[in-house]
Amino acid sequence: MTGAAEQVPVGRTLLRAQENTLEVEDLVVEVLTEHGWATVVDGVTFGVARGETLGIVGESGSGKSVTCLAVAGLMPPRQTRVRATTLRVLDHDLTALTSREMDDVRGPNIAMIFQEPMTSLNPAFTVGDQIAEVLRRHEGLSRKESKTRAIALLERVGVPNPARRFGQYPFEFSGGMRQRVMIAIALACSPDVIIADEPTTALDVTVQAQILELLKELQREHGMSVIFITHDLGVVADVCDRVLVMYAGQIVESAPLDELFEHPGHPYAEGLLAAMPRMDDPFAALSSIPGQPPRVGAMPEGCRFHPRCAYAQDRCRTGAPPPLELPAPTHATRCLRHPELTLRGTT
Amino acid sequence: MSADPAPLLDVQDLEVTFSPRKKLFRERVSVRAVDGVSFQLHDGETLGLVGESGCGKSTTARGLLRLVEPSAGSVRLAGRELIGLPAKDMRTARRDIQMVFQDPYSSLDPSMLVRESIGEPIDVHLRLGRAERTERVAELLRRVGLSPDYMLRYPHEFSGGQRQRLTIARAIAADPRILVLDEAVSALDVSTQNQVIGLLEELSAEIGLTYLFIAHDLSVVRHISDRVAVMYLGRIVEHGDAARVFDAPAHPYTQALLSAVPVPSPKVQRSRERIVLAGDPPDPSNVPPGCRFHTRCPYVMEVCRTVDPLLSPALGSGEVACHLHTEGPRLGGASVRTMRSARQAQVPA
Repeated sequence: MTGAAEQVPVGRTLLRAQENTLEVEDLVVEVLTEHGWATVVDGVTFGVARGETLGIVGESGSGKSVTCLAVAGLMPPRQTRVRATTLRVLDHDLTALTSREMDDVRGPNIAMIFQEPMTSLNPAFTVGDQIAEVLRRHEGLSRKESKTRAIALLERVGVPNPARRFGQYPFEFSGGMRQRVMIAIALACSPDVIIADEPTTALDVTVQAQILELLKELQREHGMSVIFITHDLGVVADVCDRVLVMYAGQIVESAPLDELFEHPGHPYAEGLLAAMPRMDDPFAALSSIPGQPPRVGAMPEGCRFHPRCAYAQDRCRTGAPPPLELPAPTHATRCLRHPELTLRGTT
Repeated sequence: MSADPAPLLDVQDLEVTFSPRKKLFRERVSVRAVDGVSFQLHDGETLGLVGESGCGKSTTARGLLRLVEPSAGSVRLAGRELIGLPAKDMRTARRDIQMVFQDPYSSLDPSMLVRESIGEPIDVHLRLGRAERTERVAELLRRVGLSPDYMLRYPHEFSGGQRQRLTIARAIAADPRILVLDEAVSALDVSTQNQVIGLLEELSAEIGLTYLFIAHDLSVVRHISDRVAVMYLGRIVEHGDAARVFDAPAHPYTQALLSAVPVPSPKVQRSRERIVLAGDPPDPSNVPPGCRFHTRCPYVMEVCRTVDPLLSPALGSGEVACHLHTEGPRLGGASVRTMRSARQAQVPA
């Protein structure tokens, strides 16, 4: 363990600083609602290793997108408050940066790919301009150089006729092609971390398969860390190395891919796995987790999942399970009953 | 599809054409979104209609309900022709065939009490007295798993899953025989989605509802459907019993579509044979000649570029429109494609 790791507060496992491209520790995000400040992400701690794909899963409203937006410094400043003990990409401490300095980090260090490629691209500029802009801003390339590089990027992400497509507008692209353009923009400065927030959710399955293949290839080439947010456990099984399960603003489980699917440790993860309809097992009854996730600002006492949990006991209703530690052991679960429960996974 | 006795809904050669208004200096291009679709729906069964966005599955649904006017074809509901029916008669005919849409947030009027939203079809089709009407709304709410007390609330007070239950309650308010569900569970989280599917299965068992279930999520379609039809660029390219279509897909497009669905199991996902199609679906305003799928088909033959394949019987059940099954190379009397898909079926998915 290194010297840097010794600053870590007592009670936490030591940070292995140079292994992780991204470190997030005790991230808290609050948003301003009509009833005052409400915590939507509560004490999230994780790291992503170089070349690793980390999946974040959970129902809508579990805080997975907000976590990533906060990491990328993209939460609107007036209505939100973001704080964290550690927020670090390589040796950049993001907590100390001004928003101007954050602009320099986004692009070369952190890049994002969003769900809706139509709203993420500016309809009034050509696709080529939008890629070249990134290169001129961050790499200081000339107009001519940036055009050459942008065309090469379009070609790399599989856009046919890149030289002609360079001068076209977003409306002239299909959904899948637009998402390829978004990937080209994200890739332009060879970022250390790419955050992909439901990048294939709006696409058809055949196009989704193309985009997932492309992302896997690019990651092998560049060795980037990828954070992949999705609600589709099929996509997770296809692309991720490790998975975080989020519920009501907290990470409730962190596990290597196969471990999570075969031996889920948290009742919520078990419920999510059991709820996935499977094409290869059509006659299995579709199960569901009873009830609804808690509303922001109305979090239950104790374990936040207890009102929906089939295994809940009295101690779950009063005592909150301890937070996950960083770096978590390979498989960590935020459930008081974890040692005694044997939960069902999938095969 | 096969001519079984008296289907509840019989759709023949349905065509829907969109003709944009003439623009200055721009050629008027009409798009045939649905191009000769035929299928039957029998009492109590669920037909899954799948395909990628733009393939015409939603337009087929809207066309058969005449929410868009079909340009040709016939739609017979319990033997009665709907195409060409005057608006007034169409309105009464819709009592038997109701639709549920994807977005439960925009399909309920935010300014109307639940009682009024659900009561509307009762007023149009049943004309009950006040007390009876209220009693009926209460019963409908109970049937979809909601408390009758909810009738005095507004839509914004409900979650997405509850709203979809409300739209289903409204759709079944006048005792229809068929529900057309257009991506009705697609906007919901998986756990909520399963609850709504459970409700649909209950309703089908209890009141014998027949479903046309349109969805892009093939895992859900596999679960709920008795039969499945696969659409590509305005045509049905394959149909048959759900088990046959999913376990032994005969059309190269169906094979690619199924292989593209990621299975939520890392082990299975790593070992699966995947067919990644090149390119996007072609533009419906510029349909390729010959087989519509030939531009993306990994097995394209010369004949596919020029001759449009007709539906022919598929091994096991249903039909498939693909030259490989009629013109393709043969081994031991069966087409090579059939043998391959039969082999795939044996590989545990």
